[in-house]
Amino acid sequence: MNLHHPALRDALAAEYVLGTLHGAARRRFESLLPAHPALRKAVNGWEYRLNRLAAASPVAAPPPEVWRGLEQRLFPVAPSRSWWNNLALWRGLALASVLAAVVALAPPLVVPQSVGELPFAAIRDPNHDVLWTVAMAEDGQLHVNSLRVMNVPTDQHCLLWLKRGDSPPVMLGELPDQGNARTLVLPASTPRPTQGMLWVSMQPRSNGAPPAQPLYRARWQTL
Amino acid sequence: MMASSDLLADLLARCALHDRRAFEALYQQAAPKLYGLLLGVTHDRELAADLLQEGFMRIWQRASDYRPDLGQPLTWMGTIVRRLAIDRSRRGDQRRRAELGEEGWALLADEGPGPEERLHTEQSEIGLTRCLETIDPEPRRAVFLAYYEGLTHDVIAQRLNRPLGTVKAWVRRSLQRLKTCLGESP
Repeated sequence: MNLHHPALRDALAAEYVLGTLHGAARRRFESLLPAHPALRKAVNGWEYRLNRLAAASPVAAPPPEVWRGLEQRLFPVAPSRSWWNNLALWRGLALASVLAAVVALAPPLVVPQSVGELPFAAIRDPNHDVLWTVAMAEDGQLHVNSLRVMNVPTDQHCLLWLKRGDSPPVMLGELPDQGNARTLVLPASTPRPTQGMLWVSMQPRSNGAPPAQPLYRARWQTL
Repeated sequence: MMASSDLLADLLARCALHDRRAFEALYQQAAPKLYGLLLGVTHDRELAADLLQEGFMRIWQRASDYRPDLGQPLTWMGTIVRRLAIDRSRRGDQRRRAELGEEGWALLADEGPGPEERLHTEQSEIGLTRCLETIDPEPRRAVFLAYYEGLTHDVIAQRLNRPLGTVKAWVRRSLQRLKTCLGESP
């Protein structure tokens, strides 16, 4: 390949970008690119010219797995999919685990007689898989179960917030993130958490500022 | 309807600041067009989906490299995904191809007019359309088959039922004419 001749260099770059340069000639061209700035400049020029054609491509809806895969690869907090990523299984287990957590973590606490009034929230990811369950005992303590191991960077943590109306969110505590459970004891000044929406944020441990937007959100329901 | 270039440029700028919501919006706005481009070049649904994901990984990672003076955001993103597609197909990848069946092609065909007609409706590409119109219909068709369907010279020659040498000359002259008309890159 005589790349010292500008016209030939440009013609090769054009066919390289168009894709009509193939086989051994393409491989040879590619091997020369790193050492030839003029060749790279010619390629960039042709990419600019020819890829203006991209605007006239047909439109087709990509499969939803593409976006899900991107989220999992780029944003590590999105849990990896595995065998236990089974919605039906976890719906049942999540409800059971809330009751188990209420009993196991607060021995003095008697499960309210009226189970139908036990405030409960399930925090789900965009695939509607449950990540955490939150149950409020009669004494106002929150019992939180982590149902998924979250890949949270070591310098960050997941926080639970109460969001009421236009007020800034109020922090309720740190969420467990390793498939474990935790009881959050709320200060007396905290408004009753069931009057509002639950937000989850992931943020640096050094930053306790209320988030402008949640990573996940959930509404209370009654069990 | 496709988002305006200003909106896409704004979303790319926010992606450079690691704004995850901007990235999601950018994906929603641009992915259907880029997936359509990839389907045409690869003729393979699974491969096109893989490449779209890989392409958006790079778009996220390189968003700060985008500069409006280098062209429209879609041109920049199209460069990223099409380069991946051509690299993959020219490597003779032997993976199983989930090729588009009749239904898949019908879906694409149902999207309406072909690239030539669509170019006429892209306000931002008036200059490109004008330059393409200076090329005779058959040579222009050869360039379109190479660009939108990822075909090589010999396949284009078969498709158009013309000698290989003729097709090679058409493509070469058409590209030169485009460059003369469009000018140097910025």
